[in-house]
Amino acid sequence: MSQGTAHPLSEAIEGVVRNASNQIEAFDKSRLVRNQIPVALQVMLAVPIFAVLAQAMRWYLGFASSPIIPWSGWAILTLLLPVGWVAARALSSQFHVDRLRAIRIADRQLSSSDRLETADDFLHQSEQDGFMKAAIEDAEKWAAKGQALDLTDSPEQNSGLIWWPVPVAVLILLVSFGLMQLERSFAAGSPDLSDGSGGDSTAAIEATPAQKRGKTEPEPKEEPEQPPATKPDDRSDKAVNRQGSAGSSIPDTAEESSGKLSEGETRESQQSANPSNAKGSPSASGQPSKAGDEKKRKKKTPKKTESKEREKKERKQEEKPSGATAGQGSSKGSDNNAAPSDWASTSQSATPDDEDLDEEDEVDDEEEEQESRGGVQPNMRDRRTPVNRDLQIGFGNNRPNPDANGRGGPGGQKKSRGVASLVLGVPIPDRVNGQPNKGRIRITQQRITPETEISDPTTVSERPAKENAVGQLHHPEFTPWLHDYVRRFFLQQRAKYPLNRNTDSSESSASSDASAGINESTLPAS
Amino acid sequence: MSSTLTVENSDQAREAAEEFKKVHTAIRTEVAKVMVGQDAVVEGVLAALFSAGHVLLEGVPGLGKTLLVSSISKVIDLSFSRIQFTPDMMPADIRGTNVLSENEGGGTKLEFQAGPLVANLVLADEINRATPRTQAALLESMQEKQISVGNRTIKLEEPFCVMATQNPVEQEGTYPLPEAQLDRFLFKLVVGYPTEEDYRTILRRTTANEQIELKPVSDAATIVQMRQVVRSVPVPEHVETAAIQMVMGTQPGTEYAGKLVNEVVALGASPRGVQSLILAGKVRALLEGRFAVAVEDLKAVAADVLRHRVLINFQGMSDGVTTEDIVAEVVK
Repeated sequence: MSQGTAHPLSEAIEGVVRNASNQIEAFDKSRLVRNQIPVALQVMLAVPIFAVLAQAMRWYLGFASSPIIPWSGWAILTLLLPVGWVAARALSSQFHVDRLRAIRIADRQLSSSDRLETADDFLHQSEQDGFMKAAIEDAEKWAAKGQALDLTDSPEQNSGLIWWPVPVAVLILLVSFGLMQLERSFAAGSPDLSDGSGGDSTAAIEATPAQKRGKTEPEPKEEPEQPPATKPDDRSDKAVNRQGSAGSSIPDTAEESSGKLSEGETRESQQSANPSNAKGSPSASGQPSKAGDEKKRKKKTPKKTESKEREKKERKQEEKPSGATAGQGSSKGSDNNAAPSDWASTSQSATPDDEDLDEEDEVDDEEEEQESRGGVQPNMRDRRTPVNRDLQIGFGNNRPNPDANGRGGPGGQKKSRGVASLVLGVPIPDRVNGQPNKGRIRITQQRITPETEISDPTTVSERPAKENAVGQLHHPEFTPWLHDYVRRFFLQQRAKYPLNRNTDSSESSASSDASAGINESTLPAS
Repeated sequence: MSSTLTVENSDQAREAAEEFKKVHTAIRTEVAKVMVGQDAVVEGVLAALFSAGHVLLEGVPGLGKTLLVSSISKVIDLSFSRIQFTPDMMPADIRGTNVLSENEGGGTKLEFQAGPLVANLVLADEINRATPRTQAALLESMQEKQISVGNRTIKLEEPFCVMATQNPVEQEGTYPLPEAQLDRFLFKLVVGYPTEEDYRTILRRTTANEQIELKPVSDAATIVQMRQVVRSVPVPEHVETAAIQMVMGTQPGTEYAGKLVNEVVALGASPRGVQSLILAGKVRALLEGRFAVAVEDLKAVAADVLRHRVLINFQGMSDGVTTEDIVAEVVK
C-alpha cells in the first residue's frame, strides 16, 4: 500500500479517536468533580468548626455581645466553601486525552482484542505484509463500531460519595448557633453584670472568668457541686499540714479529715511521715473511709502477712547471715547484699500489691527447694537431657524412643547443618545439646578365678665348651702406619704402667699381660 | 526443508490462517479420541509443537502424559522415540555413540549409532530421574537442534520436539532440572486430575473391548509449514512492549518489578521468555481468528510460559508464594 493515499481505515480510526476523546474528556471532568465532592464535603466542616471555636473563644474572653459574623453568614460560608473548592479544582485541572489512550479505551469497550490499536500501528508502517493487511482489513468493522461508540454505557468507577460531613456540619452550626443564643440569654438574664457596667464587655471579662474559677464569693448553688477537694495540690497541702506543727493554720476541711481518720484510717497512714504515704491516704475531704476501701486496704497490708513475712525474713537472715552466700543454691542467686541493710523493714512498711504477693509465693517455693537441697546443690532446672545417641529403636521394656530413628547421632537440628543450611542461606544456630566433656565413663570390674596355664616342661642340660676346631681365623694385615701406631700405643701404656714395679704387681701385671697376650717380645720391632 | 512462506496479500494470509486452524483442529480431534479431557494441556502441547518449542509436562502418575505424547506422534505421523530416564543412564544412551563394526573387506570401522534422541518427537519420560550429566545431553539438541558426538555433528530433522514429563510428588532420588534446561522449554504444563464426567468417559473407553485406532492426519512437512505460518504473524509495537514489560516484571530490581517480585523472586525470566511469549501468543492469535498478536494472547499464555522461568527465593517459599502468584501479579 502506498503511503501517499490515506487508507480509509485511517479516517475511521481518527473518527474513533475523536469520538472517544470527547467522551473521555467529559468523563474525566465528571469523575474529577465526583472525586472532589467528598473532599469538598470534608472541607465544608472547617467552617462550622471554626465558627464554634471562634465563638467559644469570644465567649471565654468575654466578647459575648455580638458575633463577628452572624449565624446566617456562617451558614452561607459553609455552603459556598465546598462549591468553591470543586470549582477551583476543576478549573485548575487540564483534560487532554492521548490518542493511543482513546484507541485503547475504544478497543476495550468494543472487546475487539486490540484490533484498532494494531491496525493503527500497522497503518503507520512503511512495509505491510499479507498478515498486516489482513489485520487492517479485520479492523474495519470494529472501527465503524467505534465511531458510534457510546462510552457512557461503561461502568463508571463510583468513588462512593461521603455524605456524613453534611449532617455533621449542620449539627456543628446548630451547636454554634445555640451557643450564641445561650450566651445572649445568659448575658441578658444576669442582673449583676448588667448593673455593674450596664452591659459593658469589660465587666463581662471580669465577671465570667471569676465565676468559672470561683475565686470570688462562692455562689450557694455551686457549693454542693464542688468536688470534695480532689486536687492533688490540696491533698499534698493537707499532708504537709498533718506533718507540720500544731500551731500552723489548718483548713477546716483538713481538720475534719484528721478528726475522722481515727476511725477508719490505718495506723500507718497516720504514723507515716512519708509524703507518698500521705498521698496514698484516704480522701482528704474528711469523709469516713468506706468499708470497701478498708477491706481493700486490709487486703493489701494484712498484719498476719506482715508478721509471717517478718518471721521469714528473720529466718532467712539467720540461715544466710551475709551476702557471701549469694549464688549458692539457686541460679537466681540471693537478693541480699553483702552488707547488712534494713531493706526488709522498708519492704515491710511498704504496701505490697498483688504482684508482690505473687513474688512472695515464688520466693517461698524457692526457699523450700533450697532447704530441701541443703543449699549447696546447683539449680537443676535448666539442665536438659543430652542428645539421644541411642542406636536402638526403643528404650526397652517395649517403650518407644521418640527421638531414636535407628540411625543414631544427633537430632534433626544438628543434621540440618551443612550444605542444606548453606543453600537456604539462613543461619541456623548450633543447638547441640550435649555434654562438653567426652561423656560418662563406666568402669566395670569382673571377678575371674585364676586358672593354671599348661605348658611343655623344658629339660635342663649342660652346655659344654665347643670341642671341634673353629677353623682358620682371619687375621687382618696391619698396614705399616697402623702397625706403628699400635706399637706406640702399647709402649706408652707400658711407660705409664711399668711391668716390674713390685713383685706382686709385676706378677699380676705379667699375668695380666700374658693373659692379654701382650709381650715385649711379641711386639714387632719398629 | 521447505522454502520460507511468503504471504504478500491478505488473501494468502487468510488462507494460511485457515489452513493452520484446519490442521490444528484435525490433530486436536484425533487426539481427543484417546485423550479425555485435559483440553488446556492438549492445546498447550500442540501450541508448543506449532511454535517449534519443547514442552515439560508435570503431573502425578496416571494422568495420561505419556499417552498424550505418543498419541500426537501417531496422529502427526512423526518418528517417535521414548526415553525412560533412569539414574544410571548416560549421555551416550540418548545421543548415540560410535561403535566398532566390520566392513565388507573384513576390516573394522567406527560407525555412529544414533540414539533415541534422533527423532521428530522425543518423549523424555520422567526426565528428572536422570543425572544432570545425562540431562545436559539434551541442551544442545533442544536449542541448536543438533547432536555433537566426538567430531561428528548431526543435524536433527525438523520438526524436532522434546516433550518431557516429570512427577512432582516422587522427589526421592530425582535430580531437579537445572535452570538452563528449564529455560529451553517453551511451556511447562501442569496436568491436573480429570473432571467427573471425564472419569466416566475414561472408564467407558478403557475398560471395554473397544479398540481405538489413531490415524495420521498430518505429517512432518505440514507441521514445518504451519510453523512458518506462525512465525509470519506480525506483532504490534504495543504488544512487544507488553511482552517485554511482563518479562522484566519478573526480574527483581527492574523498574517493572512489583513489590512481591522484589521480595520473593530470586531469578526472573530470561530473554527466551519474551521469545516464548510472543511465539505462543502468535499461535493463540491464529487460533482466535486474528492476524496479529494481542495483549490478551500474552496474558493467556503467560502462566505456561513463565512459571518455570521464575525462581522463588527462600522467603517466598516459606511464605507459600508460587510462581503462578508471581505471574498473576506481573500480568495484572
